[in-house]
Amino acid sequence: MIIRASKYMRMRRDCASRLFVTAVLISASLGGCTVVSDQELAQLQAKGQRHGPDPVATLATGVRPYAKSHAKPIGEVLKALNADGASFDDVCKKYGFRQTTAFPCNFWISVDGKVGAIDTASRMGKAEVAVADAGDSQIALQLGPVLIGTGVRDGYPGVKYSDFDDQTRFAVFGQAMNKQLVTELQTFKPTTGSTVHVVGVFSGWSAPAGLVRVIPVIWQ
Amino acid sequence: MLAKWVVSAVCAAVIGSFGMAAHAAAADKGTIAILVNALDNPYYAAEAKGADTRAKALGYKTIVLSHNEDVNKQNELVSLVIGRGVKGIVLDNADSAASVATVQMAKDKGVPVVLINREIPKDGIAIAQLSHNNLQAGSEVAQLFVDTIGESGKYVELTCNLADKNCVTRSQAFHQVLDQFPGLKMVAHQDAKGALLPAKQAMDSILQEHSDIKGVICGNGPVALGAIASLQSAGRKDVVVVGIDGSNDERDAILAGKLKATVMLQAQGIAVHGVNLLDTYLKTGKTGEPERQLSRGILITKTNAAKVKDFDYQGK
Repeated sequence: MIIRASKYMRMRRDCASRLFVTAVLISASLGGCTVVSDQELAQLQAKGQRHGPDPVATLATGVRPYAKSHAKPIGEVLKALNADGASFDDVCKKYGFRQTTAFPCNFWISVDGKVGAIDTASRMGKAEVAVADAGDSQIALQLGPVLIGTGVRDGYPGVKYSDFDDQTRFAVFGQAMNKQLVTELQTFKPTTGSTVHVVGVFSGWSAPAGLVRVIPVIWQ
Repeated sequence: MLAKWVVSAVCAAVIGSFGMAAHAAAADKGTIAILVNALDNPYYAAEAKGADTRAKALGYKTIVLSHNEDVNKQNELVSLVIGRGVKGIVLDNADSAASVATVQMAKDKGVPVVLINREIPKDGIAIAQLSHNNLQAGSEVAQLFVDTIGESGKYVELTCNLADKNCVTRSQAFHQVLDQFPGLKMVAHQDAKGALLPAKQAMDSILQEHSDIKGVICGNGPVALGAIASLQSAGRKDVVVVGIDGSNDERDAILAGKLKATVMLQAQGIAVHGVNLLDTYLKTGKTGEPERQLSRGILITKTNAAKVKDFDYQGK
């Protein structure tokens, strides 16, 4: 048991007699108690706690360079995922990244193509892009302000779940990263008919069917 | 002395009620204690079953006990099994923060503890902390909830048990998604204590005041089933209900069109992995794997509900 020194002083002031305080101290001593300062208590409470790195800095100096150097054309990745007899896990190992099987596989991809329909009525705004070799998939760049998924956080090997104390802190980190991206995405204003070059990430547990939602991290 | 008698009586009663007294196995590798929450909850029963079956398969005897989410009882049971000389403990703890001291006590006595389902806020005490990716589970089901009811309208949240950190995490995950849609209004938020009856009662009451809700998002399976029972009684088949857990009852509710979706937590898988790590540790002095590990939840809808059986996903 740990008693803060300040608490001890309050206890002492409140005590009716010195004898009582002595008794408390003896009792505390016998019970294995340790009197520590407020500073020591804070250090003890913080011991072993990990809050992970700074999300904004990680996005700029970690995620973006990693994404740029690892992105493959989305058509190539989709082709590999949808090939006859393709193993999702094998394609994930070759083209994607996931820390453990508790997370979906995250694929860093480049999207080059002509912008089609743009939906900004939904909070989950998106711009569809016509891409070669996409097969039956429709490619949509997420524009926010709601970004679906945590692929930006989970697709970067520089950040691990074990860098955090618990799931809540890990979530807050991912949320902060997405929030930063949403702010920056305000400069990305694709128009129907224009051509875009985007590096981003999409995530999945299996080969995507239908709409592939890409979170852009680098755009032109 | 009296305390010892009480603990022994509690222990004996629990073992008797679950029908799993220490079992002798072919090889004498010692005994592993498996301590979970309430064995009348299908999730915890599946956890216990998974750990028990795996431990016996590896040649251990087992003691399966329930602490009923009571920290004091958990401490008594852990002391008891340590006294009985168990080789290790697989524990779904009663309270994340309050269990640090319990796990530390076991470590100090040289008994390794593997935590399943719930983490504790300290590293280096348990040999492993295996939990479900509750954020992923909560986010996925919340996203499906939005996709189903739309980006505006009124909804209700029934949490499972806010004394349980997993339930808090799930609620946080829900709100990380839902709160990004200003058109979605949470008109009621109630802790249904993780059980069917309190959830039904809460929903009965909420419906009196908010008949215009579009959906109910629930922190676990029994709560979702309680909400469904209430909505069915009120003749409200239009209200969308989603949950998290993935019990057989939820599976059946999905197939019957009463529950829109759930996320199946791999209760048996996490327990089996916990026993495997404990076995490795007992043989080698280390698990060889990271202490904190997450397990994926699987989104269950009508399209894949038939694959759910006893918290195991068939045909992974």
